[in-house]
Amino acid sequence: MDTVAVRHVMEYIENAAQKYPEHIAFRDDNSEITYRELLWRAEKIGYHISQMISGIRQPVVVLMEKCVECLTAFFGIASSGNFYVCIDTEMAQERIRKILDNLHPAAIIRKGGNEAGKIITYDKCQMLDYEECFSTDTDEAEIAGRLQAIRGKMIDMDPLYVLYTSGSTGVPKGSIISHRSVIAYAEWASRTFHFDESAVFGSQTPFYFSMSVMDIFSTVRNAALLQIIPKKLFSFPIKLLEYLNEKNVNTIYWVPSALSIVADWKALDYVEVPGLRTILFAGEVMPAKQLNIWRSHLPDAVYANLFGPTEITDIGLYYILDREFQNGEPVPIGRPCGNMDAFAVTEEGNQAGKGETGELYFRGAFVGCGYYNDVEQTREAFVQNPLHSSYPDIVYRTGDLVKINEYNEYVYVGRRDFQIKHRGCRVELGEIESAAGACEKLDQAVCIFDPVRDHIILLFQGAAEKEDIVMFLKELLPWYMIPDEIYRIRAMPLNPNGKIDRRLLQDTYLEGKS
Amino acid sequence: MKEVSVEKIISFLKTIQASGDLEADTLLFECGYLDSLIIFERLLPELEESYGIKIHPQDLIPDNFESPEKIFRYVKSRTGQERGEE
Repeated sequence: MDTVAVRHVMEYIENAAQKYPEHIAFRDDNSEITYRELLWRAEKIGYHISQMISGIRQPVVVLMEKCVECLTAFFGIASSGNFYVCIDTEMAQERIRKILDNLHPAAIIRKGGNEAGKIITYDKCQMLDYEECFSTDTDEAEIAGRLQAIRGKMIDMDPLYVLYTSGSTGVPKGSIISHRSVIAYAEWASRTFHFDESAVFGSQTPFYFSMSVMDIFSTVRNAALLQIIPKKLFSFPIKLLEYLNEKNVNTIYWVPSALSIVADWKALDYVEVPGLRTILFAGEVMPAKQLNIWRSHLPDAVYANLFGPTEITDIGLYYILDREFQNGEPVPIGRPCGNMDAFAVTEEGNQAGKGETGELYFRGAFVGCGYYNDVEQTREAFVQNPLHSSYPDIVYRTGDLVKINEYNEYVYVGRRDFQIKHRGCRVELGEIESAAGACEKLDQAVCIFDPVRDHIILLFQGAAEKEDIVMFLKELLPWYMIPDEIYRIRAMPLNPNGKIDRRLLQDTYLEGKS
Repeated sequence: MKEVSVEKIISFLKTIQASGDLEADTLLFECGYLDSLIIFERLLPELEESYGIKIHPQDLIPDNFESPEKIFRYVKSRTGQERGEE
């Protein structure tokens, strides 16, 4: 590792193309690209864009399905001095519309022909066909000269991408992330998990999810390989594991639900995956029950629970599993990543200590630049450090409640919005949910609160009997946390992001009954 | 126990996602009717509950789920078996 600080993510591609020009960088079932070609194509795209739009630091949309060309376009945009915004052709039209309304892109890059009928009509900016970038013969020196001039005008705090998450109001919020944050993150991840050019990432998450940032930039930082796994395979656990073997995938960073499907359907009993050496997860709570199934089959792999929001690049806390967990026991979210700091603030405004619960804040290199075209929301979440007022110290307020355990690790408790007052006591609905999750024959539990009747309502999926759940919870929880009503539901409703749709459950179970 | 038919499979899939034409040979993954969330949270519980079958891990292959016709054939073969086992 050289000691000169990397300032632009294109330096990763340039280094990799120099050292390992014939290594494959990205691969999907239709195509693959070597580092040599990736550099060549990214520069061609970069040059083309720089001719199309005036100025730098402008948003450029990549409107494609998850594929090799989509990744290549990201780096092309970065080399043009602009920042990319990934809009997947699978996203709902309405959501795409809202994003474009907030973003006002300078250009949109598409791949001709294969957008599965979802052609977006948008006439407020230039449209660029991916293949067009390579159709003209331009003198290599001319390209290099122009891109170099652009690079000279950039600093590492310039945005690399804007990633949209669903805001609570239904309007997507675009987190702006700089080159500096992504580089700090990729450096930390590579050092912590010992990534090198032999790493093969099995990419599960969409490129409009922050988890993909780990896959993409750890890959190029190390001249490694990113293998895009066809989405369909996540419905066929045995086929999925066979695919990992076939493609020599050794590193995965998946959402817990993908890992859980493999565990629940006993796929590891049918297919061994001896090549898997690093298994990372984030995005939801990883249940110990399913994690233990993975650990019993692959005891030598490194497992880590990562935690953080899109606003801080991807994550800011991590826990590498170093001890056993009983089914139902929460897996900690651990300690801050390198050059990151995390602290929790109690309701009284003090820094939380061991055993205390507080709201989680992040400061440090991964913290993003705020929300695009949204000063108000930015001000609410990117705030002055509440622990002092001596100098400007902008920190990110997560809205997540955490507890510090006996090992001095953070443990996720729940969203601040889910904390309720019930029979005079402060209750974390998330705590009831995770306790119920350990109950036999119970697959998933969600708690909602009816403030009018002061009732806690537990909704669950699984074959368990209500009486058994109550008996079980009484062993684990204080009396005031035992649900007042319990209902079995066939399947948890999910919102467009694949998370449980609590609002819908609330609408169904509160208003319908009052 | 319900008797399985392609029509019943199609009408169930339509309750999940109402839009578009759904034929017996529609490719459900390619056309966005099925993904892992829908298959595990909705479709499999429905098939197990409505037709009294138990879906085995080895049965989870594209060939059994790619189209309404294939789901129908799979469920039919399973219901035959379950009865045979009794």
